[in-house]
Amino acid sequence: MKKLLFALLSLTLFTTGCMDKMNIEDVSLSLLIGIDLDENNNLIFSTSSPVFSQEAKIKEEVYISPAITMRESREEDDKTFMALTVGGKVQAILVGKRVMQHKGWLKLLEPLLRDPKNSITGRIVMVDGNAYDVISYLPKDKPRLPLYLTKLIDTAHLRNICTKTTLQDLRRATYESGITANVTEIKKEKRLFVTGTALLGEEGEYKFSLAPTENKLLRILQHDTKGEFSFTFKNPNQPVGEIFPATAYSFSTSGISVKTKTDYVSDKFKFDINVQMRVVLTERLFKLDIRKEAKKLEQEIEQEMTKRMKKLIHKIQTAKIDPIGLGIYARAYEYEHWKPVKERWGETLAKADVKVSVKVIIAGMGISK
Amino acid sequence: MSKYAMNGITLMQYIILIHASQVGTGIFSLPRQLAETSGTDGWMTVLLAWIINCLAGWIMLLTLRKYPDFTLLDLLSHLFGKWLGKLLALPLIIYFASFGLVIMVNSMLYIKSWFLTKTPAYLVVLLFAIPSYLVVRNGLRVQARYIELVFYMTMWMPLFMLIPVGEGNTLFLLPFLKEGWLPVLQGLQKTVFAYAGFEILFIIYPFLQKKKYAIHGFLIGNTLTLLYYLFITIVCFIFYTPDGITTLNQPVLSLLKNIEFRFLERFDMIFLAIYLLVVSKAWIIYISCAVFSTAQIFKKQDHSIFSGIYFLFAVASVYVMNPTWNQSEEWTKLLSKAAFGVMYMFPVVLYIYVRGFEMLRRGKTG
Amino acid sequence: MYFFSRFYKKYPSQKRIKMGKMNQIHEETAEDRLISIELFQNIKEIKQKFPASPDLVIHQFTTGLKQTRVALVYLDGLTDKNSLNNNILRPMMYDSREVNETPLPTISSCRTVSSWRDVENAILQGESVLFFEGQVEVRVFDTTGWPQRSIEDPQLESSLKGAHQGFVETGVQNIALLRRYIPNLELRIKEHIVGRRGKTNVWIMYLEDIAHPEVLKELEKRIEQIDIDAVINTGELAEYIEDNRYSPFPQFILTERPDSAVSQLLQGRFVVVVDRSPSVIIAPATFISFFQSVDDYSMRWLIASFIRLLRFLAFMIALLLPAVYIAFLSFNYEVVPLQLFLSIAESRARVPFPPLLEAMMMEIMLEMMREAGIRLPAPVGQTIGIVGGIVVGQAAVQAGIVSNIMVIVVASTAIASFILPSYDMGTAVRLLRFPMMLIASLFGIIGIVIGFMTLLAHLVALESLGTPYGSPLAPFRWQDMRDTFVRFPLWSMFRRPESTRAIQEIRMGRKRSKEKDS
Repeated sequence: MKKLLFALLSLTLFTTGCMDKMNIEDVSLSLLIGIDLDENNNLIFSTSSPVFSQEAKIKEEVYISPAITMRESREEDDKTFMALTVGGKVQAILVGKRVMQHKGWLKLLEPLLRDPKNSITGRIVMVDGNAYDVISYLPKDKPRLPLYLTKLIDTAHLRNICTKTTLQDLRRATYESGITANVTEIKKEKRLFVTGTALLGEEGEYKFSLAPTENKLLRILQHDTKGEFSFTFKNPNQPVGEIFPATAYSFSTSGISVKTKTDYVSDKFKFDINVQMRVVLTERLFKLDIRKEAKKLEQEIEQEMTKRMKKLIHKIQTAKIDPIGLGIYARAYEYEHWKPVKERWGETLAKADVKVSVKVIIAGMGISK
Repeated sequence: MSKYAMNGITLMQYIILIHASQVGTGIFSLPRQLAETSGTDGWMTVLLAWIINCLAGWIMLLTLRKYPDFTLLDLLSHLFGKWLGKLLALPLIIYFASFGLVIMVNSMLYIKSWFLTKTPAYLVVLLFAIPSYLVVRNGLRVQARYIELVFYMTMWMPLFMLIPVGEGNTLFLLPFLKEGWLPVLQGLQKTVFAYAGFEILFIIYPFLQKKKYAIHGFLIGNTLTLLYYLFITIVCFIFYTPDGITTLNQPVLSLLKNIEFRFLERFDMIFLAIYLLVVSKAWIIYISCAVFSTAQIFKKQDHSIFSGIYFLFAVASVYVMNPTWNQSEEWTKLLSKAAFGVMYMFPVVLYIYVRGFEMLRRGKTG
Repeated sequence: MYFFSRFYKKYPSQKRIKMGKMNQIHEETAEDRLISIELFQNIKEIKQKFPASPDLVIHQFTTGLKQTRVALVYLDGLTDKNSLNNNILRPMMYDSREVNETPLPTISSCRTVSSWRDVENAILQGESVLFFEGQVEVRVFDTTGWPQRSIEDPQLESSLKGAHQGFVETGVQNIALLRRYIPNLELRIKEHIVGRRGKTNVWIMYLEDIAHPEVLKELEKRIEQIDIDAVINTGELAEYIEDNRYSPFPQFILTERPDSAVSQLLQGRFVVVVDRSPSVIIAPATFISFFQSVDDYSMRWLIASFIRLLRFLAFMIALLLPAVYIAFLSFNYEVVPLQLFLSIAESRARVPFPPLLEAMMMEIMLEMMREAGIRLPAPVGQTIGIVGGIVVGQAAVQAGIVSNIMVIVVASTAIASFILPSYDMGTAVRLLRFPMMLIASLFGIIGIVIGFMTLLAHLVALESLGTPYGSPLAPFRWQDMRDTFVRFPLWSMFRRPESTRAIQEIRMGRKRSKEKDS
């Protein structure tokens, strides 16, 4: 009797199972998703997914369609794509600059966060221009665009040319009142360029862009000292060359430690950011005896660095945003004072007193004297 | 030699049984629930709850120590007479049975939303029922073996939680006690479901081979759970911002989504699939407690028929009710209340009654 | 319903056992007639009893001064002619002419019987029987000598460093092989006879001061309960005495290596030697013991540990890899990294079959090739391997029937299943792979986990001779971990494993290394 029941049971399993089966060849993976606004402020979604058929000459399917939401756009895609569109492997979400300039565009990403099948490690990228232009770009000398694009961003991030913000990072920054988000910025002219980092406001609206050198400074201020930091400075004390930049020198860091101190004095937040760098000289186009004059060079670097950082902080304060995350320090150490200003942290930070001091030690000069 | 010695369990198995019955599906949403009431101080709530649980378990063992060979039913029959004892055991059996069912339903919901969206719910429960039945129909010794084996096999799993910690910020935890002690205490009720499980002591205590270490074993098991919960709560609090964590239903699973290897992406799916083994420990021990006690009521040695009936009933009830997330949350709340009674009130009442019972008896004889 | 109950009875029913006993009693009364005093009567009787037996030899002659008439009866071919001629016939016919009394043959084993049943048995076993005129007792000489194989290297379990003597088809010789390793009085042998027609000798060997008496009782009980015609092979016997008849896992170790049998004896297990069968049963077995090989103990322990780990990995690969392939391709493609995904999808794009069918096709193909290889003579078998492996695999990919990845999966599964030192466990894995693939194709990765859970549930509940099969994993024992996934140095393994339920827990003469050093 028991065995009979068992046989019946397994029969049920067979007949009713495999409802969720979707073979790999029946799937069209959206690897890139683009969001744009047209002239009349209508949303335009674009998708790129790989094609696996050997007969196909082009290995990418791209479809650009107007839709109300991202989920609706998927249905649009299914009308034309060979297989069923799924979002489990989104590599990058490209958002046009025009979209980002509006508050609340983050809501559009909601479906990616809700469905557990979707991944949240896709990179968020702002496109200076139209996202669909990037998505329909088919470079001949590069691998598939999704692979190329992600590789480009990841390696640029290693050199700290730009930031790398995944959907998860963006989500975290938007829900946290003590920090504002920043995303990678790219641009398409004849080819793709990573242009730096775009800083966003409290509600995701685009504020201003950072060049690669500024991005490095931001990284340092954020205590995020992973990857390579290399700077090229000009020495003001050296004679300027005629054609060649005789005053230039470059260095990269071999270790950075950052300490942020928080205080609340006379109704104002006060932050002291101490940066300690060990640098290795990688290039020097003028004459200098580093054995004797290291101190001098160190001081020069310190001054230049401090100057640049102050400029960056000033920019940030005028934009009333906080990409550095000083709000987190304020909450952790001055909770009493932070709580009332929690909702308008950007403005509070604008009034706050932020001091930067840089200490540089030249740790090495390479193999030539 | 007692009648349960044949099926005796070692101290290690006893420890793991207690730990296993506590760690189930509650853990996925625990950090969020704690953050909702106690903010980032939620981890202190976990610590506080642990102290309370240790006390409750100690009181339970104080009672049980007097009757080392009695299971719950034996004890109740001894104290209240045959029929009243059985009647009193009935709600407890229902409690165990429904606890097992709710854990299964919870896991089913997870599996359904992560993996098998279109597969009918009863089929998923049926899948759970097959291996569970194979374990539950045997004696407690076999269940202890299964649970022990699974425990050792899945010990590595929390370690993977450490990978995303690097992206977190310990500053999120500061300042401690930002809103004072009140929210920390308010969070206590949220931990009941997560910590529930050591009430299985009533059933497994007579099987323990070395009774003198019962209290030590219980403390170790409970501490193991504490460490597990504390670790996961703190990791979640560090990774997510204090405001962001409350927007996620299951912060633990969302956390795991961030883990990617060169050879494996979407680690949360692998984790959740393997975590099914961990959760199976919890429901197996609850169901076997229920089934074992039922068999005792009917004075049957072999409880395999009852376990078969139980699983058939479980599949049928899921087929009929087709539970949703909201329903399951309701049930969980209801069970938390019941667990509160079983874990904290019942042992105290029982202990006082036993003291009175003994005194009365001594008065009669002496 | 009757059909089912007949097939699924756990042990022979009480009724059948009773009937069997009655039969036996009946036979005894009929056959237990005594030998007649008249020689010609006896010879007539013998001729009646062995009607169509051209190999029966009845040699009549006279012996001694009294010229007593005697008859030597034996089966030609089952007896050792040399021994008959030199040790029986020569002293009785030639040397005894001057002796007054009945002369004695110069043979070591000689006994006297007086019932027809014993006579029959003796002749059938290859002994020679001597009838005397005027005596109701018969002499039985052990002149057995049937066609035999010499002792060879074990075929199935070859080893690099272990002994190169394998068991043979003669039980007594097998016992001798084992005795050579343990010249100790504690090595006990209990004899049982199984099979009414076959009358196979079955010997249970164990070390009296180590092995647990309860396990012995259980083992003897089960062997005594067997009531069948004949036992041809050790595997047959194992099937009659195992605990769970529906388990895919072998519940006893069957080995043809005396050295591995001895090492198990020393751990406190039992060895069952079956006459006429070149392998012995080792009981009780644990799951882990199928992953251990004799070579592990003669290699450096680090290397042995590495190989041991490799086997467990291979076990998992052989069991799960095709299932994981199906699950990832049909359900959980999110888990596969993008680069790998793209290359899998590209090779899958040409394949017209769903992954399950693709995998099943290749796996069954593989099983057929393997089976074909076994049955064919060695040189041809190799050709089959090459043709099957390279040509079919390559051609199938080119024809677009299977994907490249599938061929890799199938090939690695095959290699992995060959690594297991036990053939029986290897076949179990081969079989279990198919339900795993099936459930993976129904429920994806969850199906695999459920399948694995079911397997675990089965393993923890399974017992071998009443001892837990999962030991030392379930029930867990730290002590025994020293010889489970890794092999610790021998000096640290001074305890016998718990799974044997040995009554002498600490091995003789083994001391902790500290004591040894000081």
